[in-house]
Amino acid sequence: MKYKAQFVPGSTVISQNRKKYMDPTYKLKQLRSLSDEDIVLVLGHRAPGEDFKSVHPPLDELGEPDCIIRELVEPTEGAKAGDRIRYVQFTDSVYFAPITPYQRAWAYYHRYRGIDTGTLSGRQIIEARERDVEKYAKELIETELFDPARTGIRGRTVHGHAVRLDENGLMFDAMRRYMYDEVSGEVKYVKNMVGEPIDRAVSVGKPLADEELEKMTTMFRADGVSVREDQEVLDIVNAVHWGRTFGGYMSVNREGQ
Amino acid sequence: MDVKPELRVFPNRLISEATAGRFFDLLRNVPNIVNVEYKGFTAHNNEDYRIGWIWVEMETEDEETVAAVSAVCDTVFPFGYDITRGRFSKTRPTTGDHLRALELRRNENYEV
Repeated sequence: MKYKAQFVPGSTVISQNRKKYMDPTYKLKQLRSLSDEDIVLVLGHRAPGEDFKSVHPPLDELGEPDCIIRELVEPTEGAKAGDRIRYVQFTDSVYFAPITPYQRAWAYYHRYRGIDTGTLSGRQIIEARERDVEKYAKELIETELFDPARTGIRGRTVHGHAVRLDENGLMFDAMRRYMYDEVSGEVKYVKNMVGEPIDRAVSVGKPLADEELEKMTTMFRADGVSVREDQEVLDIVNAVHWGRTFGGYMSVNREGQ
Repeated sequence: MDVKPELRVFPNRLISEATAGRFFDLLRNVPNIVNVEYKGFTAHNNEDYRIGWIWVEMETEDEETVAAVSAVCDTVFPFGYDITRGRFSKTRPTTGDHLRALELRRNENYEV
């Protein structure tokens, strides 16, 4: 019998969005477009036009040992070339950001190969070979997983996801990496991910309207779609909670059920 | 001791100094207000001050003043706000304040 992955429970728009973002066959909607140079400037791992630095010779020249796993797993482009490990990190505001850190991890694991990702309360880091990082970062910034105002590209001093927004609807950033351009209505990055000034401002487009964000988000909120409206999610959370409470690490042995 | 009532205004967004200035200017026309204080924070470069909390001290607590302050908030904060009644700022120095003053006096480089 062939099963179809459900990814997460639930039928509300929030659950549907979670499923969509996690489903690798779903093509993320592209909302803005940035050049490769823009991405390099914002990430700040290398100067635009500079070659990728490597930590080992390309795999073709390396002469790998005979290994069934190496035959099974196709290396990523970055691994083939021997790139350094680099990262990109996003902060997601609690005020209806398109995606939240935890769901980023779920989505990344379904979509990307050769990565290591880490979740914290307000931010999500993704580590991979340098050219893979650039490819993934481009997709993550250009598509519906990113909002110029509610998502931040931040390597350090990430604080701000739970702070009130400013008057233009921008998430607080202690390093002022991005500015709201009142003339064009766009958000522009004037510093790279770690807060170093960059040669030219990089525009990441106009912030989305609140109504649009509420349709795109994966966040249950009392002032948006409450988790209590989704019975299936509540049932699953309940089952996990009771299994964990009564069974510990052996949830199959739980008492009373 | 005569302790005056206060209103705490909590805008739903962090406001700029320009917006706060507009708010304070409008409050000047409201009678019965004794004092206004505010608190906020800056970014790393110590520029771009953002204000998050405002306390309005009144001579007496009456519905007219609260309604007038709400009306000012309605015009200046279109994104929403909360108003809480009570007493929020200190009326006299606390033990901690005395200790901090003592610490400053002990510091040779600091002249009180």
